[in-house]
Amino acid sequence: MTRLTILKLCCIVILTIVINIPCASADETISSIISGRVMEKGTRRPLGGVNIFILPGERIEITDKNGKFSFDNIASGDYKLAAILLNYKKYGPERIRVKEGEGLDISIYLEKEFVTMMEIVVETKRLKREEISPRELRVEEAKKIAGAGGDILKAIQSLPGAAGGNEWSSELYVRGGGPLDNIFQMDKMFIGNPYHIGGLISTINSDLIKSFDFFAGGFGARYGDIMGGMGGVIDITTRDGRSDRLGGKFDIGFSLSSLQIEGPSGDNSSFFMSGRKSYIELFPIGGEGEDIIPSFYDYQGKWSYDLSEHNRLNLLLYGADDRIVFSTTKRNRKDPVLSSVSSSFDTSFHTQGFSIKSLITPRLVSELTISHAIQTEHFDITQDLFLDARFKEVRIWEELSYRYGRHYLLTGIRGGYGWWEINGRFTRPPKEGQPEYNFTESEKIISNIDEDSFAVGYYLDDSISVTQSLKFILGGRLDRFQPIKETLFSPRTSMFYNIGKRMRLKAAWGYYRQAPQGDEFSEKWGNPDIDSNLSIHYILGIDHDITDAVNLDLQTYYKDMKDLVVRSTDPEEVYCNCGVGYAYGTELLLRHKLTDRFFGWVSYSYSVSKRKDIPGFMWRNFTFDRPHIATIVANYQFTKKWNIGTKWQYAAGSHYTPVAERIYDADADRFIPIYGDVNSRRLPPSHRLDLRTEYKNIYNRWIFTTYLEIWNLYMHRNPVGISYNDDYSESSVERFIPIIIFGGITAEF
Amino acid sequence: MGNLIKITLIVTISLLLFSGCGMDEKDDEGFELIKDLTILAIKAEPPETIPGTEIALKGLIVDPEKREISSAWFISNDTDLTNNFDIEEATPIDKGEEISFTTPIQRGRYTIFLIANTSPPPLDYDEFLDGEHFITAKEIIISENDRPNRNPVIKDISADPIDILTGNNVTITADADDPDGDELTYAWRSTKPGLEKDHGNMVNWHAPEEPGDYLVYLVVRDKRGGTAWDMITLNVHINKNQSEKEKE
Repeated sequence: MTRLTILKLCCIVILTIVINIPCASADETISSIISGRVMEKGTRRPLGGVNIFILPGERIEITDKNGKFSFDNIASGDYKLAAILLNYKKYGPERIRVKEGEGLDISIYLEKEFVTMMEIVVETKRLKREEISPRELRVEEAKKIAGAGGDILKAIQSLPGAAGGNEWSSELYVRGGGPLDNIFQMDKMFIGNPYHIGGLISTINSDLIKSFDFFAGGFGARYGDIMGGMGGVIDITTRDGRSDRLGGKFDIGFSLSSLQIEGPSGDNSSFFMSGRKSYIELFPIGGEGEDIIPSFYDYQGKWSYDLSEHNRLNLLLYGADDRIVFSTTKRNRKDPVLSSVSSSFDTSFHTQGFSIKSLITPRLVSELTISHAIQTEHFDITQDLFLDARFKEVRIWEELSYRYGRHYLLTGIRGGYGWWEINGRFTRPPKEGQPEYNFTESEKIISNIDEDSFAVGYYLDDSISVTQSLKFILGGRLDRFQPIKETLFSPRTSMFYNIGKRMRLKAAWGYYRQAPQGDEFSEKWGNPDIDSNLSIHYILGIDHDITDAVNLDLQTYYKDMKDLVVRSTDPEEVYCNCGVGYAYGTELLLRHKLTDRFFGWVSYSYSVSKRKDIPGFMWRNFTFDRPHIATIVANYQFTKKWNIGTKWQYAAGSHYTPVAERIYDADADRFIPIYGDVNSRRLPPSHRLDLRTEYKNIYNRWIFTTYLEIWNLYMHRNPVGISYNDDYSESSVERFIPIIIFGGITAEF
Repeated sequence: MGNLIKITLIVTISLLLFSGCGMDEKDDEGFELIKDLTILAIKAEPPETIPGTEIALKGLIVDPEKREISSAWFISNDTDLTNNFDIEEATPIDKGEEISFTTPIQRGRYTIFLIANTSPPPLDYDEFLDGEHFITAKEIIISENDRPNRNPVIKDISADPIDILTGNNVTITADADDPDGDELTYAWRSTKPGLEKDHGNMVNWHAPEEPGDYLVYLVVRDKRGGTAWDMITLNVHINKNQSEKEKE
């Protein structure tokens, strides 16, 4: 071997070593793992089915339902990683470095290409019992309706058949019924006060509502608790707490703030807790020499637990507290007892309960609900005008549903036992049609009541699919209301007929009872011998799916009212079942359903409602009747961040009773109004345009939403009532604040 | 029973929120200002008496326009004017601003009405509620009470200063007494603006810029149906020095 040959060989060896040094890691036998999780940006919802790519090597993995992925046997080095999922922005390629022997754990957040409201809808699909006059409103729609302030119960006023009383109130006046004629329930439990401060906003946090149903009339035998029924039904179902991770939301608004926390509490359970508190008390309202300071809070909590595959336990608690402090240095000539007073009003309710839902067989479902509620009220106007009341109730409700063949049976029994204590010296509450409520003139009743009683109701109805096109629902309920020793039977029936694939004819008839109010059947305050009110509903309707997204619904109704509880002409009797009434009307709803970017509707309702208080008296207008209401709602998702909604509503004015004559009381130095025909005049109509806009900023772990609402954009001064001067010689229309602007920031984590 | 509470709460809150909470409530120019035909008071002498006796009824009728006024008296045994009261059910007694009246035989409480109408006399009883009119009611007590209530007495009304210039503030003071020792209330009225609100036996009055004679009325009540009234004429004149300066 020559020197040259040896030199060549050495060079070759050296070069081989040198060239192979960088490649030594690729051939390294110590491998690593790249793992991680893919979540949706902002909501941190785990995303399954995401394609994860690693280059070089072109390895692909797909995330599981929990968003997790894992690549084994990865050699150390630099790579590029990308994640792709339909409707989401592509992630990467991002550089990653794998160190020898060390694993790499990555969290990836994918941002949606576009936020579609439609997606949210899919999750809330559920099997529902058919009703004749449902006014469907999805939770996500309701929260975006302009003029509702994100309050679902207030959003119902945008639907035909549900009128609002005035500009500030969320109360509902449904087809000739008043605000106390409606049934409110949440998860089959009693809601003490659906509204804060007499109707300002609802006591239920809209973020915790999974779904709600509003029935304007003709509802099935399941509903019709003796404490309501002449009006409509608002049936709320809460959602469960999230089960994937701990999360929450807080909202800081102009007048109140809220905080909610939810998450898993074990393998088979989850919870949520929510609380809201006002701070409007920092800005007292009132004129010169007067202060009105309202304040409130509310809370809701739920714990859900899967006892087994077919049994679910829910524990619920919710409540609310309202307080108004009122003080004035003014002399009140119309109601002297309210001169120079400092008063307080406190009201609260607290409900706790549990429900067990069981899939006994694939066809048989049972739901048992037991709840306990306490409601307290304290009024303190003067030392001679005060009231302390406490009301407790325990309710049990068991419902069974069973499907067999063409039948869908629903049956249940519902009972409640209540205790009440009322102490005080107070006036009788005013009744519908009474023109003015005057503390000074009203009779004061001294109460020391401590009583208890019960009510029980049983119902059964059968939904029969006679043919593929024709369905009947036949049923009824039997109620026993012990305080007035009454047993009542209420038959109900409805019919649904499909005309082709897109049109449906529907009809309903039924008896709807409503027990007298507590003061009406009380021995101390009223007449223990009176009976329940009765309303017989007749409804006919047709709805037509013009396209997949557009639906037209037309309904007409007649309500025949009998045995209405009214003030008796006999002062010893106080109340009697002497009243009769009727209500009829037509409601038209043309609706574009919730799709990717848009939802909205145009509606018109016409109604007439009359009452006759005593046989032989003239028919008169019902106080809460507003014959013409037209509404236009539109909501559009402009970009994935920006949503804007608008609502315009026109409503005929409410009725009022004018002062026809006045008498000067020379001894008391004040004027006494003598009223004319009840509800013979009408306020001017009201109309307003509301706007709501939301802007969403989505970060990996947070979503910030800024919202702004403007009520009454063109500042039309809408009437809310009539006021008179102190001697009743002049009157003027009271008008609401011309414009309200409010907003806030919500942070979700 | 929970709904009793709900109703009361809703009504009470509505009343409070609307009884002067900053919305367009009708502004009261002043209860004290007599703008139209008014009956300020009714005096029954005595205010409480036994059945079948004669009492004197007198009304204080004020008309800023000084028209010829018709007046008539009525009686009713319904004392609850707030409960669907119908004035047309009252029984006529007599006409005139001041009458004598024999009390009913039956003991009890009665309401006496005086109706004034701007149509000149004579008017039929059923015409008194037509056109511009004013109704005042007063309760009289027919009883066998050993110590019946008596009307208060106004001893004096005075103004300070006595010499009132245009635009000046004046304090008007009343000296009144009740023979039964009852607590008295004072109500001041005038046909011209200037009286302050919420007053007792003393009231401030702001003299107008226009000179002339102005009447201020006082009605005193004892809270048991007893009434008395008086009036004071306030002569307002221009400051002589001011008027001479203006002439110059």
